[in-house]
Amino acid sequence: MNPWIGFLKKEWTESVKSYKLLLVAVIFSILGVLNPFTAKITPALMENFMPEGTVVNIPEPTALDSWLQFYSNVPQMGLVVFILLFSTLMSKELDRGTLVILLTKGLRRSTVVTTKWVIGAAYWTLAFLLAFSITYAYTAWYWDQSILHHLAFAVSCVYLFGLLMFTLTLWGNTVFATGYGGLLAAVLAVIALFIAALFPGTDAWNPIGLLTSSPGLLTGDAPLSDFTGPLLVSIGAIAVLLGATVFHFNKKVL
Amino acid sequence: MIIEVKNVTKRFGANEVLKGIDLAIPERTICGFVGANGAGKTTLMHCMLGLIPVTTGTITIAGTPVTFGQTASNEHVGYLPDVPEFYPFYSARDYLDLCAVITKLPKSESSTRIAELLDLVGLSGNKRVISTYSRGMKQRLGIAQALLNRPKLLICDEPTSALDPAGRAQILSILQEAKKETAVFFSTHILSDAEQICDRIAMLHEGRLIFNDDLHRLDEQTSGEFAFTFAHHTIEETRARLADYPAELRIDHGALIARLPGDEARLSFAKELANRGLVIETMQPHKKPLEDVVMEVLR
Repeated sequence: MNPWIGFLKKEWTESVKSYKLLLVAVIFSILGVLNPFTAKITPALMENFMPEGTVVNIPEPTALDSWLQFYSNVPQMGLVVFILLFSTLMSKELDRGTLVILLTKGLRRSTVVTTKWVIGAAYWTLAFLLAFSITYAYTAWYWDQSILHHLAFAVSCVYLFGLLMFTLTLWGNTVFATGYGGLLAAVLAVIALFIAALFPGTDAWNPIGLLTSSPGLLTGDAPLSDFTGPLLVSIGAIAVLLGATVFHFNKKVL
Repeated sequence: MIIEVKNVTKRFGANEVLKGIDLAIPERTICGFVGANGAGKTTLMHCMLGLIPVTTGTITIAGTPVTFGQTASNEHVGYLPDVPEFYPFYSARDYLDLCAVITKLPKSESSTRIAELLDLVGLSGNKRVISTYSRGMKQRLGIAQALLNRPKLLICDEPTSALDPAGRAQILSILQEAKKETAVFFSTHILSDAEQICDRIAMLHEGRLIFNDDLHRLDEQTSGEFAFTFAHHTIEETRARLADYPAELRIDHGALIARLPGDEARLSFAKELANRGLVIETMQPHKKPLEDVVMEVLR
C-alpha cells in the first residue's frame, strides 16, 4: 500500500469513527424524502391554514415542485450541514498536532491535502447521490417526471457548486488553521458572489448561477449554453483553490 | 557525525531564539540536550526536522542537508515530540501499521518489526484504543513509532518530563536499549535523567550552546574535587587542623571536600595530611550532581 492510499484509509476510518458517515447518510436521506413529501403536502397544508370559507385555487403539485424543493433543501440545509461537518478537517489535525509525527516520517504535505479533499468530495458525492436518488424514486412514485428537462445536468450544477464550497472551506481551514477560518471563507465567498450577481453581465461566469438559474433548466426556460461559463469558472476555481491549499500547507510552519 | 549544525540562527520577528549554534553529534551516542524552559531546545529540534525554517546556517543529518518542509533527511530520523499525539481511534498496532505504510517499510518486514517494537515498549498484546492510554503509554508508543524504520538518529523532545519515576525509568531504559541501533538526541530539563544515560551533553542557554562535549569532560571542567573521611578525627576537627592549608576545602554530607586540580596538588595534599597526622579512612572523586555543574557553568 502506498502512503497516499494509507493516509486516505486513515481519513476514511476517522470519518466513520466520528459518525460522519452516519450523520451524512441520515441527513441526506431525510432531505431526499422531504423534497417530494413537502411538495405533496403543501397544497393540503395551505388549505388547512386558510380562513374558513376562503376559496383557494392551488394547482395540483407536479414533479417540478418536488425538484424545486430539492433546489431549496439540498443547497440551503444539506450543504450548510455538510460544510459544518467538514469545516475542521485540517485545523483539527493542526490543533492536536497529530500530523507532526507522520510528516517527520516522510508523509508528503500534498498527500495530506489531497486525501482530505478526496474524502470530502467522496462524502459530498455520496450525500448528493443519496438525496438525488431518494428524491428521484419518491417523485417517480407520485408524478410523471417526463415533463422535466435536463434533470441530470440541472442537479449536477448544484453538485458542482457544493464541491466548490467544500474546496473553499478546506482552503480557508488550512490557511487560517482554525475551525472558523473555513466557514468564514465560504460565507464571505457566497456573499461576494451574490453581490457580484447584482451587476449585469456577471451571470456569464458567476458560479452562483449554478444554484439560482439552474431550476430554469428543468422547465426548459434556460438553455444549456448559459451554464458553460459558470461551470468552467467553478471547475477552474476548484483546481486553483486545491493548488493554493497545497501551496499554503507546504509553507506552513508546524 | 550523525548531526552537524553549522552557525544556525533562528529569529521569530525581532526575537532571536537561536544564536549561531554549532553542534556535532557522533553516531551511536546518547546526547542529552539540556537547558531551561524557553532556552530554544524545541526550536532547534524543529529546525533539525525541517518543521520550521532556519534564518541562517545549515543542518545536515547523516550527510543529508535538512530543508524546510519536505526534507529527505527525515528518512534517517525518528522523532518523539514532547506531547506525542496519535489518532485516538486506533490501537497501537493500527497506528504503527499506518506509520509503516508512510515510511514505506516492506509488508514482509513491517509485521515482525511492529511486534518487536511493541514488545520493547511493553505494549504487545494491548488491543485497547489509544484514547484510553495513560501519558506513559503514549510516550512508549511514541518511542516505538520513532524507532520503526530503524533510524540513524532518534530525536526526543522532553520524553520524561511529565512522567512519574517509574515511567521515567522505563523510558530511559528504552532509550538506552535504542542506542544499540541509533544515536539518540534528547532534550530535557531533568538533569538527573541526562546524567543517567548520556554519553554527551549539549547545553543551551539563552539561545547559545555553552557546552557540547562528553559528560565526563563536563565534570573535569568544573571539578577536580575529592571527598575524604578520616580515622580518629571528626570532619570538623580535620577541617580546623587544615585551616591554613592553601586549597579550597569545605564540608559536604559528612565528608571533607578538597579541590585538588592535577596530580601535584593531590600529592602535596596527601603529604600534608601525613605530616599533620591525619589518617585517611576513605578517599574518592567527588562527583557533583549535574544540576550543580550546570549552575557552575552558567555562573
